[in-house]
Amino acid sequence: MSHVIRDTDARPGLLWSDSDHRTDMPSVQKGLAVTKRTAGPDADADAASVADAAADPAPAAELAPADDRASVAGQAADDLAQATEVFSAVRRRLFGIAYRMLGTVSEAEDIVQDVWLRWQTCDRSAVLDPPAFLATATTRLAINVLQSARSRRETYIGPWLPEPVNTDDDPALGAERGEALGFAMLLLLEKLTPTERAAYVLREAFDYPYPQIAQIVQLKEPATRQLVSRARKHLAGEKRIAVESAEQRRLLTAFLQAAQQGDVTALEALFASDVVSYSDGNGVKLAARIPILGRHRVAQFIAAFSSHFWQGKTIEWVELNGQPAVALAEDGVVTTALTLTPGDEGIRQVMWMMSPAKLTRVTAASA
Amino acid sequence: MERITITRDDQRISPDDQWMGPGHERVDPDHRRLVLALGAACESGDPAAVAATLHPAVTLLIDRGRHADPLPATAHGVAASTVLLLALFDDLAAAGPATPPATGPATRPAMSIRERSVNGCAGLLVTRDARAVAVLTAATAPTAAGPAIRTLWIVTSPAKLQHWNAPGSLPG
Repeated sequence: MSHVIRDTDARPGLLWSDSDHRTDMPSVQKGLAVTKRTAGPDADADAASVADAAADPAPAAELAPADDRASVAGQAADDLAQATEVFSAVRRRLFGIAYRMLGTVSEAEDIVQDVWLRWQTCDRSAVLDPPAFLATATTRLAINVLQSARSRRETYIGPWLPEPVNTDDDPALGAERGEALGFAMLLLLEKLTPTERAAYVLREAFDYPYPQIAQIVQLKEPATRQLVSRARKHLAGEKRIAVESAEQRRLLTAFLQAAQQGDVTALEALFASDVVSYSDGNGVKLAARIPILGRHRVAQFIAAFSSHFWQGKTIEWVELNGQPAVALAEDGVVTTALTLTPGDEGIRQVMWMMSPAKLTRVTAASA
Repeated sequence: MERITITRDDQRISPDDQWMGPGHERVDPDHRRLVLALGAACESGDPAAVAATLHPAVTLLIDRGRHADPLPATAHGVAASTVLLLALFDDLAAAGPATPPATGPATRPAMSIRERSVNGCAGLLVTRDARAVAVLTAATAPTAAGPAIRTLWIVTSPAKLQHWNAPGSLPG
């Protein structure tokens, strides 16, 4: 990039046609004024703070003498055309970064638009690595928007979900791989701080090297590595809970099936050898107050009441203490709750809750 | 009320069709099959068919934006999720209070369900009268009987569907 912009009052209205997003670029003479599409109260990013947070454009170059104006104007048009080309080449990636940061298409588009305006007006001759410059501006703007968006999302009525994005043409949405793109992941990313999220997204989805990420988020490299590692752990923790829950649900499903059929063999196969079945029966029928120990005994005990216990009961999945559990209800009233504790060998504990006092908690949990 | 079977750009598809283009090679076939089956079940309004795709611990989340609705926005478990899902699709298919012409029967705009790639995986776009009214994406998880839909996210908020209505995003 060797051209120097000599005339800052470049011709207005360079049309940049983009099939996915914008068509009509505002005049460069409007400077850094950010033009927002009409949007509802949900999408009012703070333009002033957004402008402050972005990478500063270098100061404008000097004006050429009057008699060179003609050739200079022509040269300016070439510069802008080249700038457009450079930007277009990375625009998908910039959108991919912004979308993964914000989980919304409209705000991500606004950021890409802002970066484009910035790119038009800055001294591009001073930029050694345009894609890096553009990614930096995008990420920093996104961090800022995210910070102001948080409170809006927390006061959202009903579940806040990301804006779904159409990936027919671009399954990885501008990235090396489709990381951080599905709803499950985007919702997990909401739990990270904006800077953590930026470091994570740049590393996992775009394979940016750590020194570059450090520069973008304005931290030293060791701190940046820690940030990514912490983000990974945080997300893995959430995933692990989800996986453990999934495993428990799987066991519960299999257990329920075998229990309802009175299938002793199937039940034994699910149990660890030293499985214990507890009940807090409180004298309610079918509740053995003494714990039952051992794979064979527990299987037989459960199979014994298979013919009548399950009839007329609806089975609903609930969460108790953050663990998947099953609530059994008769005529809409929960009469039993059931949890399993898995171990390496199989189910280690079966807990039947029949105490009415505890069951009100279950009903509340499932509501 | 006219309802159209799941299509991909007006072509009838089966879960075995490899319509997705370059980059979609890593589409999870089980996930896709379940999403298409769910869509067909919602289109036909069949509770048993809906329930057959759902994980026992399924969660359904609906983002309606600022639109007030008597229906809940979340459901847990197969029974509640099936009921809410079918109620939602009934709402989406209805025109609201039908305005009968002076003579003849009231007409309702057609609802169609199309497969789309949503956030990198198979999803559903629901349109009514060529306007996007819902986008659905799902996550699956294993069960003893094979994978099933564990989480369903549906966005009906018009503010969040704007670009699904942009020219070129819908066929025809």
